[in-house]
Amino acid sequence: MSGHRCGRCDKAGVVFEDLPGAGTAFAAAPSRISVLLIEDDDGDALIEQELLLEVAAIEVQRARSLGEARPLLADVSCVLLDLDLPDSQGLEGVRWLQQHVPDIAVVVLTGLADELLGAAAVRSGAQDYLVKGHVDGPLLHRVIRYAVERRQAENVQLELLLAQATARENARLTRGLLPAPLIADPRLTVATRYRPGGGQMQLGGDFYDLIEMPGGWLHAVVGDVCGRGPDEAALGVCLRVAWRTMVLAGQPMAEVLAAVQQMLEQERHAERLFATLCMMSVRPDRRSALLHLAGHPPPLLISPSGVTELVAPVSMPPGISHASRWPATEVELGERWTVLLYTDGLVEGRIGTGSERLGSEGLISGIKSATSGADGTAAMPSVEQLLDGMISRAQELNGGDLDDDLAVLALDYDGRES
Amino acid sequence: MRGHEPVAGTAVVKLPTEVDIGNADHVGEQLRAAAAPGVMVVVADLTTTKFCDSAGVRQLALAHDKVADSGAQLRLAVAEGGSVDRILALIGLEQLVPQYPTVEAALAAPPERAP
Repeated sequence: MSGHRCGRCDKAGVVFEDLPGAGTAFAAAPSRISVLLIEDDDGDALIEQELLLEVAAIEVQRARSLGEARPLLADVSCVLLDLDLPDSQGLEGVRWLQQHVPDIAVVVLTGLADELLGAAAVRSGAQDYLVKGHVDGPLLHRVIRYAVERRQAENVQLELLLAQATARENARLTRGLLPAPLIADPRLTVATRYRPGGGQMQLGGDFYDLIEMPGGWLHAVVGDVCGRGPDEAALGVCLRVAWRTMVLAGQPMAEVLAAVQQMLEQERHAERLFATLCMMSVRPDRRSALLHLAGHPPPLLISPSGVTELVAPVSMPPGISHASRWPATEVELGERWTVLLYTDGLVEGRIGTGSERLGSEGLISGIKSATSGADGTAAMPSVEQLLDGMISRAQELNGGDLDDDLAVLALDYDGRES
Repeated sequence: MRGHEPVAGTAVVKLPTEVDIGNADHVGEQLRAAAAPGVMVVVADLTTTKFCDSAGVRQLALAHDKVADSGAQLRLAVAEGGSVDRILALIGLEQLVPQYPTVEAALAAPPERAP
């Protein structure tokens, strides 16, 4: 076919603006397809271009090699690829396109003798193949349009698979960050909540855990790795497991915190990444607890006498500076109490459109109104209702989902004889 | 908001009303860039900042390191008793980065005051 000569085709990337009907007339056509013909044989190229010109909705450029094609690929939605090019033989070209421009549909052009190669090209990622000399305009148009549609469908499918993989990965990390606590003490009720921030895909580094020791001590922790994303979440899992391991090994709480700090310093992926922690160890008699705060908001105590913050000295969070002392504070709880350990995501939601945030004051006043009836008598909701009410109120005030992730661990104790 | 008189060897970086995960990296870059040759003191002006989340705190700590690497000192100007003051106090950032109630106080403090 090399006997066919065509002056128009001598330049690479020819756009047929010099032909009648090309250019502006094409621009008005709906859903134009931009096709790049990669064909080194001028004769074959002429025939193929003439066929393409029969179809008004297709705009053609030509390249003689993959090298020539490279700068032209940006605006192309379909490539017609000859399998015998100066810089690419057989399926190499298909693989190169798959690797470098996976969004572009590829239709392979084969000779009658190597039709099997066409089928192999499809297995390598091409959308379709055509046998040279057995093509007319309408067939070519149909094949190109089908290839483009199929490539788009494949891309959508791929995005869906990636989203599903992300969701599975998030679920795995979530299980690592947020275990289901088991408590044997019948006087205690545990409730937990976690909400990812900024849309459902944005997992953060918030975590919680709870361990009831054989001697009756109950250790609870809520932590928050600053920032958000899978790396922060994975670090949160590390810290929670370090905490759990040390607690189960029966280590004193100062040693537990020192180990969490060491874990953070050694496992973090970025400088100055820090994690805040609130840790509470409830005594076996359940009337009081030891509280450790490391850069973390204090927990709330809800008792028959009201709602208050459990005040304790705050040490610097692991990661900001290397702490060697972890002061503990004894806090009185009483005979009947609910304690909420939470991360700042719960109180950093906005109030309306300004920059004002809910804050712990807003959280406390919300709980106060939820736990007292209009006549001032106690109308204590269940701890599950309390958490749901708290989170939905924060979201309502924020005018939608909260930006940061949030974790809440609630412990509810009723020591009265039933 | 009136500007501050330029003081030789100092740079004042006005921080936005809110510093959070969305703009914290940018704020950190601005603070690091302010430690140009000849600058001994960089003041992060948080006096009109109403909110700073943990990502923002981390960038302040990072900026402290980078500014120190450049041979200068980072200082924070934070309105006393405000919401940012409370957030920074909770994390204890003042133990790392010196904090002053106004930009003027931050600029006037003697050099290399130990945090």
